[in-house]
Amino acid sequence: MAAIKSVTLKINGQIHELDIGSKVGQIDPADTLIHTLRETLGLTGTKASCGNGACGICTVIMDSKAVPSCKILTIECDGKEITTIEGLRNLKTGTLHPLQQAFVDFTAFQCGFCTPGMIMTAKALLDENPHPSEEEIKDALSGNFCRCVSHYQVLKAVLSVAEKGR
Amino acid sequence: MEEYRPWTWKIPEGSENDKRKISRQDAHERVSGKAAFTRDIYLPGMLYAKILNSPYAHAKITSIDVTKARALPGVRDILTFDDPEISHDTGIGAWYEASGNYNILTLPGISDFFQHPMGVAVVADSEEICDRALRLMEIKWEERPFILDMEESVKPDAVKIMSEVQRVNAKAKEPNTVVADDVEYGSVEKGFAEADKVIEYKIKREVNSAAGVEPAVCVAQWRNDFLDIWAHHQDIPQWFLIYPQDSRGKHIPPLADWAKITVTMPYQGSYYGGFSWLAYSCCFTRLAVILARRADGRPVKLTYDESNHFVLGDDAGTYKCKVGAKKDGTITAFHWHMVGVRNPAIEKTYEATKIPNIRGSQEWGFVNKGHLICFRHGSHCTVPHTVMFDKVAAEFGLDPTEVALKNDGCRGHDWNWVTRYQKENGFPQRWSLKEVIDLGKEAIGWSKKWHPPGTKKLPNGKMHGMGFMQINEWTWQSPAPAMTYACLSLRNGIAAIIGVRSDIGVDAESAARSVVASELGLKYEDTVIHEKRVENSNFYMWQPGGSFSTAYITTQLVMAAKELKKKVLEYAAKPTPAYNSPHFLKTVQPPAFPGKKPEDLDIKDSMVFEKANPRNRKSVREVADIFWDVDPAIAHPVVGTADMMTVDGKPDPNQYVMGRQAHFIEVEVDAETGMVDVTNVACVNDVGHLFNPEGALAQQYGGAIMGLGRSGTEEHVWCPRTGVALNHDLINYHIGTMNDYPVVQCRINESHLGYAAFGSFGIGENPGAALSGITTSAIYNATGKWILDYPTTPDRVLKALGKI
Repeated sequence: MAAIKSVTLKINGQIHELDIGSKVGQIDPADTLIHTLRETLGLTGTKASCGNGACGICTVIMDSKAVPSCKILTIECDGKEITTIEGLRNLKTGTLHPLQQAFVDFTAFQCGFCTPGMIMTAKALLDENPHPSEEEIKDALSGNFCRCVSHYQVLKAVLSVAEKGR
Repeated sequence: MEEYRPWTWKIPEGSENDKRKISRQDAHERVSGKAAFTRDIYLPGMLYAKILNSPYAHAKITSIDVTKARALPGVRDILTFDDPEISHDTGIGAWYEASGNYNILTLPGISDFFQHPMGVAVVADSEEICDRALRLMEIKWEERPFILDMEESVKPDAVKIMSEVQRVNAKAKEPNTVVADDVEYGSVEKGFAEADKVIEYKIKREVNSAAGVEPAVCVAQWRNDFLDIWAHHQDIPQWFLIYPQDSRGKHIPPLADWAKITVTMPYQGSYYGGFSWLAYSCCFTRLAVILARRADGRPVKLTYDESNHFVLGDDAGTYKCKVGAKKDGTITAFHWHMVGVRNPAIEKTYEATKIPNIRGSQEWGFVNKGHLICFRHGSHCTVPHTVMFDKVAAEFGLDPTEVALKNDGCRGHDWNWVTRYQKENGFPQRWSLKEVIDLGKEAIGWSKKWHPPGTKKLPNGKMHGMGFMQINEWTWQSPAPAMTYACLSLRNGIAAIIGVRSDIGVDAESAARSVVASELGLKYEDTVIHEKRVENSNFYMWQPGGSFSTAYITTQLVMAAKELKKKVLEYAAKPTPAYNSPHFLKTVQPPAFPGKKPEDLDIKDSMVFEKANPRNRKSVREVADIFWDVDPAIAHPVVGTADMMTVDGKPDPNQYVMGRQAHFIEVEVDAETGMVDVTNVACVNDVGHLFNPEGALAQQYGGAIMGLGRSGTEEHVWCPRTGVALNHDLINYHIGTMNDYPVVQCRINESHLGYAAFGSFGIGENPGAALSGITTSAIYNATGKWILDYPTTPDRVLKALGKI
């Protein structure tokens, strides 16, 4: 199999064709997706924390699934469609996505470092299952660590969006 | 001069309405990914730096060869521990915390614990290159004996460890003791003699972690001899750069001139104290600045990985307890001897009981476990406090809530005495503990559900138990970590609160806006936070957040708002002077309210109005803006530090801790597996005065989950043979998440018994620490067996039940 020379990613609706190599702006084969998002493309809304796929902070949506971007090599993502927290709000009007607005309305955050990961996990859940039960929401978000937030407010925020969709 | 008594200030009319949900100014940024934390700071030409993590619990680097690492493309600099630029550089922890009892080398050549950041730092074009370079270091180590058990460490014949760490407390003892302390109030021997029964037991708490989510990071850049810093910290870090002596005791100049340092505090990810008060965080900042100094003007971002969360653990330890009590539950004396970093008896329990005879003794010795320090403060004293009341209740077959009430008081005084004190000093006559217990009992159904220990088996075969604990929040007036000021500016009818970011997540900023709006008579929407960098003016309104944020800064802001309101009303009643400039030509204007005196006027809903004729009204903007150019003073009402002082500068000796918190849980214990399911939680916090309902709720809720984890499941684990940590990552150190605990019932009480504005005293520390002992209480009620070895994991439950 011939070695690939570039990686094409569709991120937040925009195509990025990135050469593989060790120069600035290129994708090193060892680069993780979160590294590419933050360091190469400047999409710092996705936060980096444990680096081990444990905490859920770095969650993005790839081909409709919530994934830890710290555990995926960018070269594995060729041809994938990726959504980050920056891609949720309406880019033309600036209006927040209903999930983001619900997090505001229910004050479902405190310091906010883990919030992008929580919102992306919840988004993937609602995309797949628009009317989840409380238990399904809890299960989906059980991999998202947060030491300060009221989980109840997060649950209420996600439920409110699910209810609106009924 | 008027006595400075903020608790007697009149609560602005209508401010109760401001307790409705208030919007956060930073909400949009936080949910959209736009909030820039220190990790998100990227500067042109920026370099990255990382430090070696020790693979040994205690070992000395005998040689280090950096040749291969230096040859790696992208490596820009390597600094080793023996470089003269760093070899004697040192830092110390916060003076007001336990970590102020020792100082450490900024980049030591000896590791004091597994994953100790030490030995060598690499600067490179990316973090990944730093990691690769660190792996290429060829290092020879000399392993040294290590000690993990503090009770071993404090023995006179223990092997000496951590010889490079300098202990600075006069009570330090050889070989490893950092502090030895013994304090007594009254006479415990007399108290034990008066008791119907003297109970003795031992408690052990394993170390747990704050496990926040944004690891340490600091960005530093030099502009000739000017220094810019972006810091992830709870303190403003100029202090760290002026530490006056090196490890040899020689005077050293500041790393930068105070007047030439500019600090930016970006958004702060999940801080709970701890790391910020450690000498290590001081050294981390110093190292970033030193590496940047060698980078020829390029900014350097020093980062640390998730092991940062495990550099420290909480102030755990062992407690040997002796308690004397009468049959009615009155405690006559207690003596706690703690082998740990603090002396818990003289803290919360002394402050918040009438127990007349108290002795607290302590021995703190170094261990090769990383730094032990408080975080979300109070576990070290809430645990023995909780257990003591439970033990006494159990001994005499009493309800623990009744035992708590029986012993409530302040510094040995009973509640009748406290009530008289309240009356004489302008406080409402309230009994906070009774109020919070009543609220909590109702919330959890205590009166119907509590039962004698080990007597209720559920249909599912599990044992049912109820747990309770109560304690006080730390007081607002304790020495504040930073000199702070309040600054308000009024323009276009909008009051701007000017300061560095003051939010580690607790949303002190919304509380600040709310209190300014209420005091000034403005709409909440007519207030904003103006973020300010800390510059050579050394002016900042607050530190980034911490134990006393809301109660502390709101008091200053009320004072500043009172001053500003007075100005607005004075200007409303007087004519504006003529003013000429190249851009403006203004003639003398009549007063906004002709013929009226300031006392005839008031402000509400951002409108100045005549009290006798409320329809005579003008906007604050209309009244005040016209004076902006002739009297800048209207723009800058500034109030300095308000801390432990009366307004005439005398220390106030009468600051009793009168507010209380009560927490309740319900559990089901599986006697076959040892599993403990928490099925119901009720937290009642007396906050004195509530400023921000949403913020308080989140503090209660998140704190409760943290506290339950600290009590029931969380502990650092080390290999006893190697000293290597076995679970120092977020995979193996599990914190409670969405589906681990039931919905927490949160209740707020407002007794107005604090010394800050309107009698407030805060909430932030309490639940996260207070619940850290509560599972023992519930498990005892379920099974009749004590587990005094925390956390109360299934294996410990089975051991207590005699199953293993």
